[in-house]
Amino acid sequence: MAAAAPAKVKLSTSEGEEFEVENDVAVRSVLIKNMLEGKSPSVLRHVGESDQAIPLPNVSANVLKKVLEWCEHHKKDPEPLAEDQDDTRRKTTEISDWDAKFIQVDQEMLFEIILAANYLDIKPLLDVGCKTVANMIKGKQPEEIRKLFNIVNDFTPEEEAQIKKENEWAEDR
Amino acid sequence: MATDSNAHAVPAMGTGPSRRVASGEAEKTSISLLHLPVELLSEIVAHASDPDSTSVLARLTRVCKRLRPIVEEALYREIDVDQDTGRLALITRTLLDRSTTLILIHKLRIDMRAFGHATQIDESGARESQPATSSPAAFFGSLHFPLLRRLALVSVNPILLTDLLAAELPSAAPTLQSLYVHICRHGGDPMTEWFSYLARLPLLRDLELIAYESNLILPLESPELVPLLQLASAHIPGDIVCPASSATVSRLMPNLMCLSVENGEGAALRHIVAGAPAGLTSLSLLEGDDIAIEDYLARFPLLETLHIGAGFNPDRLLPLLTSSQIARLGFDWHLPATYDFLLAIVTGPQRMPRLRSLTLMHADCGAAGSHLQEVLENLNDATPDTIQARVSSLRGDYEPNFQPGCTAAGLARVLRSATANGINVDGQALECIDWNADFDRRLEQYFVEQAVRTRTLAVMERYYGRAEAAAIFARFRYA
Repeated sequence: MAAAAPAKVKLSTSEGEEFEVENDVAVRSVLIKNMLEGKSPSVLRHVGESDQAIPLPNVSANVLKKVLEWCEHHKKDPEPLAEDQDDTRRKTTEISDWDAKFIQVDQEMLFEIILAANYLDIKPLLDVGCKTVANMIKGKQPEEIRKLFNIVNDFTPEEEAQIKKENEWAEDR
Repeated sequence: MATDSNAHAVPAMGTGPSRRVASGEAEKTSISLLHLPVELLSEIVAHASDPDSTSVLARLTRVCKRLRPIVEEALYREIDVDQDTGRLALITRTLLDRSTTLILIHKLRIDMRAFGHATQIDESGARESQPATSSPAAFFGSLHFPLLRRLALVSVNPILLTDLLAAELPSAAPTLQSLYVHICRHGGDPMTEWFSYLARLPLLRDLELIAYESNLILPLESPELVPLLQLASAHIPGDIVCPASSATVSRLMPNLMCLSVENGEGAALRHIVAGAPAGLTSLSLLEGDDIAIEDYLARFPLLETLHIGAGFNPDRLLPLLTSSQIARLGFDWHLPATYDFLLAIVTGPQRMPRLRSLTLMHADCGAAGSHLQEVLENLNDATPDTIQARVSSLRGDYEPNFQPGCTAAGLARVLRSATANGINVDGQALECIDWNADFDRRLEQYFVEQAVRTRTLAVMERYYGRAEAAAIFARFRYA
């Protein structure tokens, strides 16, 4: 186990660009938190004792910058309770005003943020991203969803009709 | 590896790279929705799913081949068939035609009224030749749910239930762990068979029986009454057993850990509690008669959760609670003790050592908006005195029904002391603490809505005075 954790930690992006951030910002990421607490048995067990940056090979600089902006704003948030996981977490579809504004980005950035939040294990940010995509889907017809996300319809008209028939029970009546 | 010289500080809020804002228009991107791994697509689908409207997911199944199985997994996980006969026909058709969907179903709720009048068993037999939607027996006879964990049967009569349990259900749902049965009795004798047939569901752990005024008596130590060894948790109506002549709960469900009894009446409730298994870790008596629960607590040394739904003797109960392992304690509507009793539980020398959570449901209060509107309408021509009189009469009506010696301040003190000792307090009673403030807030809101509707502040001004009315209006308007 490392000695007292330093006040700041360095993160290195996929391009090798380094970001120096406060510990309480970085530990919003459970991945980084576990590394700093020495729970991760990887090459990084010396993190905290040395000046070495934590490599985040799956995150590019512009995405990390955005993710850290979220972490900075939410650094004082209470830790989510264990029982708040999953079910209750999904039920609340509300996104706070700040988060809603934060997540107003183009689609590529939105999906990059979701991927980064998943990799870095930042559940509340992952929720904001997934809820945003879910809200984009709600109330739309299949063709509108395809157009919105640039998805090619790979069903034949017969297949589509068949699926519609199979799931007709679930349509609003 | 980059050197220190090109390390960045955290960017200030809102100074991210400039990008186009998503406007809902399609655009060419290098990473798109379908690039996300399956678990993240499932996560998005879970957020899009709405139990009250499955049509969002139904439409999403038709978008593309990659999304379809992910969406169908969520769509079929939990199926609710209400009393709509047409919907039952549609879902049954799909389950029969595409049997691969059956494996996706973990939770199923069926309202038996969806089968129309065919809820009774046809004694002439020949069930297998009937279409699956013709009766519940035909439905469970034609469909096999290999991974079904929870089943809810709504509006089922005991005769039909017996038949289903005796015949189709055990093989249709072999992995059933949780069964909710809402019994509706259509006359006939009280039936005991259905209860014994529950033994045919080997993995059943949780049983929830709802039966209003059905007088479901499980009589005598009848040899046919098979104990349900597998049950760990049961919720039963208070009249399921009758005193003296009926089987005890520990004989019927010997390994029970959680028992919850609703609307228990005097002798019947005493019989249930006196005969409950000693290994209970949770006992909840919901809105029943006062049976002097303190007489029975010593029977259950392992209790961690206790909910008391009726009166008790605080002097006798207190030492029992103090020496117990109970971590979660709840009280229903009628607390026949002052808040000194609660204060003693949460703080001081007699405090319950393991208590972590206290639920207080007892004091009903809270003004309903619609009622407020009703009482205060047509005030346009009323004099200020009339308005004042109506408001104060309404305030009296909504005053919480505190027992003698109980006050909002006393309750607030309990809340403070409990919180200071790490005990979480919840429940409707807490609303009483600032019911008066809440009443005033609701009243203000009502007056503002009325002012917007009638486009005049006249009534508000007659109640609050001109300056105050304008300030309240502005506060709501611009909040």
